Amino acid sequence: MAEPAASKGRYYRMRRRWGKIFVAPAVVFLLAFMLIPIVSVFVLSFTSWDGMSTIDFVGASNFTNIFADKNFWQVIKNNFIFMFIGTPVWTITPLVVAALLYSGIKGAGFFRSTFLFPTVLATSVLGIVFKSFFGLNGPMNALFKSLGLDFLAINWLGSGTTSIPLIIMIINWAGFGSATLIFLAGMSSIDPSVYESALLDGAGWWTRFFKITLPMIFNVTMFVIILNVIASFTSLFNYVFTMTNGGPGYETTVMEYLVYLKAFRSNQFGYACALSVILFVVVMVISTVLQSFNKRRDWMD
Amino acid sequence: MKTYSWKGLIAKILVYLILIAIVITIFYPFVFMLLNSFKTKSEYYTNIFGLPRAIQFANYKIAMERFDIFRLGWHSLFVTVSSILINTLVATMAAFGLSKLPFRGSKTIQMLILGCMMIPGQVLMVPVYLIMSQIGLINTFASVILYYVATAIPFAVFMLTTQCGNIPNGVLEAAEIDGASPPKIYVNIIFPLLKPSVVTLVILNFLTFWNELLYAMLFLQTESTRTLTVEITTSIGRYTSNMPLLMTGLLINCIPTILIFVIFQKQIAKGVTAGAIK
Repeated sequence: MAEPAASKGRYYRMRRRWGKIFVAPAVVFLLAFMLIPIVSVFVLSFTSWDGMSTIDFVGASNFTNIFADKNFWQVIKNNFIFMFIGTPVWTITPLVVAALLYSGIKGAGFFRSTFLFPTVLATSVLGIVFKSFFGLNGPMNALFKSLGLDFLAINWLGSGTTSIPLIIMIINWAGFGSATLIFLAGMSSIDPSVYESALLDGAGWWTRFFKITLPMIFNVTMFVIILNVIASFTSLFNYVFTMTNGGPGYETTVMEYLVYLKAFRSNQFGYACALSVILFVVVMVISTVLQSFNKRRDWMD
Repeated sequence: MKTYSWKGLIAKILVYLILIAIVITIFYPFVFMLLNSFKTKSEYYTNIFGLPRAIQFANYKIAMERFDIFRLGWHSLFVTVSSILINTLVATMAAFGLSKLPFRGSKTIQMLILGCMMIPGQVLMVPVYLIMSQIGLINTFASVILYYVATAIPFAVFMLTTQCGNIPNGVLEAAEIDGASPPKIYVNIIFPLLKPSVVTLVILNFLTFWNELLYAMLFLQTESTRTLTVEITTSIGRYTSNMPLLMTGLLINCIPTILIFVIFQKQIAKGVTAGAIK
């Protein structure tokens, strides 16, 4: 591409001017609704604004209050439970499904497409659907009772210990289709000749999968892991809002939901911004750490 | 992979069984809801899992009225389509500018736009609401539209800039020599060539915007602006004792997205993997 500084010709000047004009709208949108807000979040986190009266700067007292609140630690714990239990579930399931589809069966395309079906449904709608399915007197419990599995016919959404795994499984059900596609894309970019020498050596399916396929999709796997980890902090709101309202108590509340509660149910905008800052920092740190595992093993011979 | 051994055949059958089982779990909730939407309330409680006695649309009629489907559906449609149109225009223009019309600082701006992809929307809840409130856009469609466009720009620019970079410079230079200015080039050459990616983005955006809950709920609070998704999600709680009606309402909200799924499967699949292939 032309080096703008070195090209003073008429065409290049015209290109430079138009370049700025064409890029400007996007920049304006992002400035107004992403960059200024992100700065505002940091600034407002040091205030105790309630949205109506004056903005009072209170230093770091929002943060000290947050860290002193035991509910906050419950919430953070919930997020980490989603992260540590959800991520393996949400990563391994599509990986297994992709492996099944990659094994050369007919109709892989049909399965791939149908598995994508849940991704077009609104997560809030899914939340309500499954809330009614797993209600105390709902269809699932009726099914369990009729199969004699009475011990499964419990109040699923009545406590954090059962709701969180349930939500994790629902998210798995809803999202594995797209992750499967990502894994398949990674697998199909593996040169088939790599398998030839392994086949000649008599390597069976397991060996081929674990010693060749898996290592070669390392980057793709990391990508899916990062997506899932980020999702455990940013994609739970709809489910929590529709299924449990964070309850009972704070047992299923997650950071995004807590921000919503503090901002729009208690009008504590400064406090909510402080929470947002913490959420933002946590997500950034974790994804940066995870991404550092990436580039290294790109070319494996 | 040809296998003539018994082990190979059993393995294959097992794989098919697992995959078919998964397909059943994928569709069963939907089928369950569909069948029950045809039952009356009392029929449901006596026969939860069976087929409905008859296909009757009473629930659909009730749902349409109770949830004001047509009016609120129109709100959702208006917001979704407007956001898509504006996003497409802004993102394609930006992609063209960044990849073919370089200027000092364009690389930095490109990195900035891509960097915005990492900002989770939930973090911006408070300031964006306050901004919209200060400029008086709460309860107008403009608020959600502007926000949706802003959040969709980073990924769209990411996808389109790569695509645009693949357009050979020779074509553009030939047009320039013929006297075409960049706007003409954009309209006649760039945009048509970007169409495949634009189609994928349009479909993905439709799904995202139609199904969005949080910001639609925060910004559009009155009867005259609420979206269908928000309405169904927030008021359906009243009907937990009438499962068939509840299922019907939820199904109706999903109709547009299901239609899109049926028609545009390929594009959805393409869009899903677009971010992964860097």
